[in-house]
Amino acid sequence: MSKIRFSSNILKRLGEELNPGIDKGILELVKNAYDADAESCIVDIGTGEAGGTLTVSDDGDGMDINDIDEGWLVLGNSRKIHKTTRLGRLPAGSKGLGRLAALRMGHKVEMTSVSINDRKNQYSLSIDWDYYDREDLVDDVELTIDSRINEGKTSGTEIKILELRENIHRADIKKLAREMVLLADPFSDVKNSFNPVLIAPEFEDLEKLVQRRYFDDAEYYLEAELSNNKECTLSVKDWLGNVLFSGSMNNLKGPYKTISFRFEIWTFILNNKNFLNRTVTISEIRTWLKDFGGIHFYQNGLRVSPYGDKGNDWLDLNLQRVRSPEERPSTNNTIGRVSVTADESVLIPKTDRSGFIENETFRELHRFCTDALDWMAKQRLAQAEKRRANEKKEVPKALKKTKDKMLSVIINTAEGEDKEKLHKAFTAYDKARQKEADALQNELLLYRTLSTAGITAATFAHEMLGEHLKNGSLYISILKNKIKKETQIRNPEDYLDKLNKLNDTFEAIKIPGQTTLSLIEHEKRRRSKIEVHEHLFKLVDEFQAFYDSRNTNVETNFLQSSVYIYATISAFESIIVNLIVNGLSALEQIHNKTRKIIISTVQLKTDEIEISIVDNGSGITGLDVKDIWLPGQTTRENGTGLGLTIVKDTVKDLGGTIDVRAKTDFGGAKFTVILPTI
Amino acid sequence: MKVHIFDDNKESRDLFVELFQDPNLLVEPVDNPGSNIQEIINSLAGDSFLFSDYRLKPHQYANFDGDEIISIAYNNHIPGMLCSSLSDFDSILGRSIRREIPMIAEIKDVTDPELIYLCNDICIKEFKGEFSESRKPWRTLCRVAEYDSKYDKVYLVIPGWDSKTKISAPLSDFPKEIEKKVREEGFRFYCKVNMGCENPRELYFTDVEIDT
Repeated sequence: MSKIRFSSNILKRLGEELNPGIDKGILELVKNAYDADAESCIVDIGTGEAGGTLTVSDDGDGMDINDIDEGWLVLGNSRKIHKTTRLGRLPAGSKGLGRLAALRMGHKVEMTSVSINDRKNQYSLSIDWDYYDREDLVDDVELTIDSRINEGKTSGTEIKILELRENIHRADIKKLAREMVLLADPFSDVKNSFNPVLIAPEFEDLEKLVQRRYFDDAEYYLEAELSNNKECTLSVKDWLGNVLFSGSMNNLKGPYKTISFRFEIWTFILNNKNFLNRTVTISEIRTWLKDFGGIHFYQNGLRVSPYGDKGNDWLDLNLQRVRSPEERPSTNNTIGRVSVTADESVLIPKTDRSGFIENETFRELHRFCTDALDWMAKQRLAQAEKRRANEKKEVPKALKKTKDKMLSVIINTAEGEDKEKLHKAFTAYDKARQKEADALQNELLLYRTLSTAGITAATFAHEMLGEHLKNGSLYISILKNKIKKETQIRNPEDYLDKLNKLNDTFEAIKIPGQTTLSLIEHEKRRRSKIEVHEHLFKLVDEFQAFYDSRNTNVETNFLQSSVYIYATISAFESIIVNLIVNGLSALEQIHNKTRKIIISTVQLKTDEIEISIVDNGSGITGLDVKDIWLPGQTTRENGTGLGLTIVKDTVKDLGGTIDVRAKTDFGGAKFTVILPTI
Repeated sequence: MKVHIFDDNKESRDLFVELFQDPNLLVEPVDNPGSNIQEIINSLAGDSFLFSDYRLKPHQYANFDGDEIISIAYNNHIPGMLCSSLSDFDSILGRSIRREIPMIAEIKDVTDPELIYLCNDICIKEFKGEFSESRKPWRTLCRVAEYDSKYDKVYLVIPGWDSKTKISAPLSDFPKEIEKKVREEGFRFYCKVNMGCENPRELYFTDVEIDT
């Protein structure tokens, strides 16, 4: 009979090559101690140098000869999965691959164990990995489990990894120390009976730090508990423990096809104002969050990495914050945990122990957490809006108070003529400030009005294009088809010609709607490399029907080569559209000659392009040239006076300059925009 | 052939019926589409053709949009055409659904029944595996050039098509399993793309291969 056998190389493949890091392997040995109901587990890394010894010892239930033979020496299986231990712990044990990785850190391993069920004997086993390296097959190496009388040792297991292959670096020690400190949920109010210890100064420092528990200083504490897939409770408390918001499944997008669990998150607002009257300083909290921040995952009381490791933002806190910065937590100001009770058949660990396989249970758990975070963000945003509205109400009062105070200082401190001078100067200053405030208020009002006009236009553009104009086009097509088929109509070409003209009119009517929708495409608000002429041609084309209806010829005089700028399409379009519209408006005054606009591009230097727009109108009149950029300045009835302000601001944003000549030989004004190219 | 007209505006439905009048076509407006697309598809006769406007939801005419019913019909080997009033409408659609919608017509081009015959021919040929150059799928390598987190858009470069142009696609076009990876610049994967297509807006991709 034949059978599959394993090459000795498989140990290297499974041990070293599947192992994501030294810390993960050692942590597996510590988890084995937890599964053996140990209360203490001590990891001594010795000098940590190559050739040295690393020892892991625990006071757990230990193993007898059968446990060692049928359990410890069997790789790829765990006898303990699904059964709770004597102390009621749900095993965190792996398939033995992490253990293999740790054991292979040295050339030799010595294991000694005393079982709680057989205290009279002590069992030991030595593994020399170099034997395996010399043999072809794993089965070729025989191992012997020694048995001897126990001389007073309590139950437990000691593993010595001898002749370490490589140095254990400080970074690995720090990582291991952090993982061990966090392993048994040091943040829980219920003390875990498991107490792993690493003999290293880094561990002691971190252990002291973790005990500081700054949770009470968190500005917001979110507690979300999913009790079954259809019910949950949500609450957000402030740092004094007052409930700010509460919610239920109605506030989320449930149901969630996952297990019951609890999600908690503490968010800190790290600014000096918030910490004025507290006993703790910002820097203390920052240090604490730097070492322990992130959203940790605790399964059956033990931490599962890499969730909450440095750089692991598994709930995308930072991504969400980038999208909507206000009132969103980030990994720098947050600590949290997900606590679940579930065995490995529900949340399945990956073979390399780097978290769980993303099955439906995990994905839905993830969705619940992100939905709860969204809910909290929305509540906080609403609160912030309310606060802003209140602050706004308070501004005039505060202003009046400050003004009265200033006047009273002048009255009470200055004498005679000085008093009068100061009073006059202050009144003049106050008037100027008020004028500036009024101007800003007017500008804001104009922007708001225009925004409303834009929103309304965009909303109804869909309606107009999708229904009225669509049906109009269909009526025209039907009539044209009927005329073509009808033999009795005299001069059908005449009817068809008129219908074609009606069709052209419809196409022209569509332009404002399509342009409005096109201007608000979000794609256009993304900064990217754009080709100047491609967009100039597009804009010139889009407005063709307008030029025709206004008897205006638009000539283009563009460079033959491609020129690129780094900008958002909407910014570039804002400049050009506003200048074209400005030109069209100027030409409204011209009656006796052909109206013309010329758009030209010139390469100035290798890194600059000049775009000029000139019309043959009568130039800028009735306004000082330097005032045309000011908001609200217009000579046209119904003009907003914002077009050229937007142009100037946008050109500046793009790192360019704009110049205007009020009157040119061509007739009208010439606007010259210079933009940096890439 | 029986042409079923889906449009949330009754007047438009009736106008399309009139516009498509032809001795070989039986054109019917669908006044109450119901809510289950699969049921609608199952109830259709073998020689059916669907013509649908894109927006069907806003006026509570249906609980699905035109792209959904046309793509599901296509997967059931029922030909169909999507119609829109916007000139650059196809940029709204996802890249994967574009595979199942061979023709998107702009309203100004819908002038007679000929378009129905043309689209029907294209669909029938595609069902048999005969694709035009611009619609034929090819397995090719794609690279993520950029991810726009604000709008969940992925910008891809398909070197076999044009190594200098970035093609945008909504994140929802990708299988859930690789959503995270797709957000990383430089991530590469294979999928099927209509490489013969010249207009970037008409590019589709499908059958994304997940490397586990």
